[in-house]
Amino acid sequence: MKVAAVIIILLAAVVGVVPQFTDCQSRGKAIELPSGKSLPMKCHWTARAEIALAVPLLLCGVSLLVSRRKESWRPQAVLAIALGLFVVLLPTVLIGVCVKPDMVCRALMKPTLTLAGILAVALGALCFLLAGRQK
Amino acid sequence: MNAARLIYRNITRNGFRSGVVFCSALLLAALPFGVTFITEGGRASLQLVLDRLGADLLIVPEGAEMKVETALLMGKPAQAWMPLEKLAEIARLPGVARVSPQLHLATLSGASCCSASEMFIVAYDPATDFTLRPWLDQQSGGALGPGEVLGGSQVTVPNERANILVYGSPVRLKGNLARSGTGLDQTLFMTFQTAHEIARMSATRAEQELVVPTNQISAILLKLQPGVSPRDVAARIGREVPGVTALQSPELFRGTRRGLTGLLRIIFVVLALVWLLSVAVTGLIFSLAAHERRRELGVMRALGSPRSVVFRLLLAEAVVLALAGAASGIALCLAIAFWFREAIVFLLEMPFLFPPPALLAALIAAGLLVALLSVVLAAFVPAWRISRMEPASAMRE
Repeated sequence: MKVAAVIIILLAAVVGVVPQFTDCQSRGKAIELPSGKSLPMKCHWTARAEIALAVPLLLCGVSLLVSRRKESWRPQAVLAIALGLFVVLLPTVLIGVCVKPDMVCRALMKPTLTLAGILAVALGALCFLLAGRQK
Repeated sequence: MNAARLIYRNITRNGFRSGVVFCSALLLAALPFGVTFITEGGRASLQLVLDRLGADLLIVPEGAEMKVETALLMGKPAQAWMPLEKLAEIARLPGVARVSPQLHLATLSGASCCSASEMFIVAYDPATDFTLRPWLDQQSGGALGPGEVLGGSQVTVPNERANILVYGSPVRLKGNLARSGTGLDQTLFMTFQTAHEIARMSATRAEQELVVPTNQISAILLKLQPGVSPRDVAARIGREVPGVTALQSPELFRGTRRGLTGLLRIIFVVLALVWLLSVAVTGLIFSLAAHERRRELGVMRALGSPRSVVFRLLLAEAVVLALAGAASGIALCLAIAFWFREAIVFLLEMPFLFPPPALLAALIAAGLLVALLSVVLAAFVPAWRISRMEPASAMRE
């Protein structure tokens, strides 16, 4: 359980930090409007939204690590599963990333978040099962 | 308690010990599998590009060899020009069956008149083409008409538009080629007629005019008559047609292939060290475990279990942990390769395609076997020694 909690904390750090350096905005790319203004691409908004998932995922991991009350493990595990799912859904369905495969958000950010989200879901499920067994 | 349950209990009872052996097996399988998988994927991708090229020789302007190779491999736009007369000069050489010219163009960078920024465009002559036609027939049901294009596997029509915009001219995406794992997946193929029409209209429609020099071409694809040596014809072109370089198909991407082989050699040295370390750690863990469990195993012997049962029990634990670790490592490698395949191709600039299923199955089997043999080898001596001990001395010590 403790090992899974530590990995969830690391995954939360990856979810929060990696997108901030792998969106197109971080590489100086933006949508140029005919008026001359520039707009951030959608991968930028995905990166921002991932912060909102990384923080609760981090708290969930810390809580699983320090919590001694086994009754609280299951709800936290369910929360980790839900957050992991949204980590995957944001770059794939809900907001998305840029279309071109050579763009850093598509080549790095999306697969990193997909992998991190799936691992978070798997670890959440593992914690859920362990919480049931250790009662 | 049956043997399977006993093995399960022994593995789960000491999580740390089992975890270390599991991680060692994961490393033992994942590292050689991952490296071989990526390099074989690179080779598969290069072979597919060569097969798709379908020409015996590729003639490019002198000095532009690397640029054209990079363009064909990575889809990085490259423009090099040679006079159209070279086509007739080469076609007259003995042994040449067919020649077909190509124009290499590119869309503008960050311009609203182009749907995709800096996209490599290959224009071909449908009257003489022999490389794209089979793919066109297969993928999009016939030749391209005016204003129609064929895209690599990654080329799509932007959501908000019905067509792709190239220098302000809309072109219809007629079909997509199968994935090649190279930059060609982002390349646009069109006829000379469409390219010249786009160039003509770009003067008024585009932010910057597309200039296609008159009577100039970028490359010539050459098919030889049966039995004619590509090496001889390439040498003859070198002697008799100045200003061009003939690249033999098997020699194309030689630099990339050499790079892959070099990478494989360097990484295998590192892998050998990791393998030795993992086997040593696993052996140590099994020695400690066998020592820690000597009383328990002594009791088993005293209750009538033969030496072979104790020996097999310890080896079975090693086998289960090795297979679980190796399977997890290989699954992780496959997942990473699947999700990060675009990063491998476009950020590392390395061709990559999942190897053919038979080769993939062989690589998976080899990965499992390496981890299994290594862990069993590491566990063999401790298991042998503990199973040879007399029950009384095992329980007393």
